Amino acid sequence: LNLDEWRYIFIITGIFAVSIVAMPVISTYFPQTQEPFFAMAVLGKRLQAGDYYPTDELILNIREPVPWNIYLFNQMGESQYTSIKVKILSNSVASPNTSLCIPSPAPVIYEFRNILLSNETKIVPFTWEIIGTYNDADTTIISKIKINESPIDVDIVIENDKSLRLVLELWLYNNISTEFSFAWISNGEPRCIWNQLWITFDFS
Amino acid sequence: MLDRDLNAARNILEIGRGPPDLKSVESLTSTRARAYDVFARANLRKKEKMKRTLYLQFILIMFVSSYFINFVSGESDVLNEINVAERDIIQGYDAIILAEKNGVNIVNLVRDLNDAIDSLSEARIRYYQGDFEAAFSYLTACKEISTVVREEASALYLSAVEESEKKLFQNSILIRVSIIIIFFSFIFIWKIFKQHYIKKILDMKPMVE
Repeated sequence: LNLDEWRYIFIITGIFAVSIVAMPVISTYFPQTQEPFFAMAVLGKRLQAGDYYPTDELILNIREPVPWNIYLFNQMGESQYTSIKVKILSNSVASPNTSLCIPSPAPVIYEFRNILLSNETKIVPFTWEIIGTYNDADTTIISKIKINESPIDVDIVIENDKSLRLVLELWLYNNISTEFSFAWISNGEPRCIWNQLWITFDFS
Repeated sequence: MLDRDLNAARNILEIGRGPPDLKSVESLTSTRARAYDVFARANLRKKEKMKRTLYLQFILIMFVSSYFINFVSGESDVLNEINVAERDIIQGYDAIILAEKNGVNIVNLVRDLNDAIDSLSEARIRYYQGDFEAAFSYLTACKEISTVVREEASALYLSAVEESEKKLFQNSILIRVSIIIIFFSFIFIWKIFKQHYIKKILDMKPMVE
């Protein structure tokens, strides 16, 4: 190598060394980017994805407590103020729309609110039971539900097949709109989370 | 007593209206006067009794309406307080997020604010059950915790901002000094290398074949 070539090598090495030293400052202008996401799941009484019902059959009786747990995991990059809205849907009521992130029109019967730290996992106990029903003409109507020992008045019509869906929607607090929102933006696309479990009742 | 007086008056009048007898007109007039007197007294008593009844009814209506007004105002007060507590929690959460973005450890703050959120949930349940007193006590606890969290988060945020500014200043000085040292080191190394290189070239002897 001649002297001019050695000079170029020295200049490149010098720039490289200066860059390494200035890296902590440079990195503040390029923060780490990772896809933010949130996970929610309904777990059974043994904290597993199973054993949802008191018996092996998917049938529930009145005044039969159902011990579930709600699993939450926050990977949104910062703490999140969450609201899990519990809804009970008959067959004629629309489910939440995942592609458009529209929540179900059914009324909220209970709400769990929690703040989750970034990268935190939380298990929220969710024990519920039906404690009051009445018959009106040919239909059965659920009038009272107990969730985590709190009795709640409801008005849910059970249709002929005696099956319902219990839907959990995850809403996150939006600092900009200053309200809870069912959808959030991740990599430029709207995201939303909801779970549902089918329940069949035995009123005999 | 009143009925008895009225009956007595009626009897007197019946006597007065009775068939003419040997009594004089004077005695008949006095009998009628007595009857009217008894009637007047009976009417007076009746009016007084009605007044008393009306007065009692008025007091009862006032009592019931004041209770109802208290119930309604208690309900609306709890609803207002729930909204205030909700706003306090949001303010606490905003302060926590701001502190978190500036590198504050927010674990304890989030734990405390979750306690406030639980209190608000309990207050809502008590409100729907009509137990406004219990709802108020839960709301008071909620607001107190939220206020403490907000103040603590704000204080931690300010100290974190101050700390990060100090750290940034120290880092920028350190980096500038490092860059200058590296720059001059490279110039120094380059000069030594260049001298060494030239000397090496000059020391070279042509090879004779």
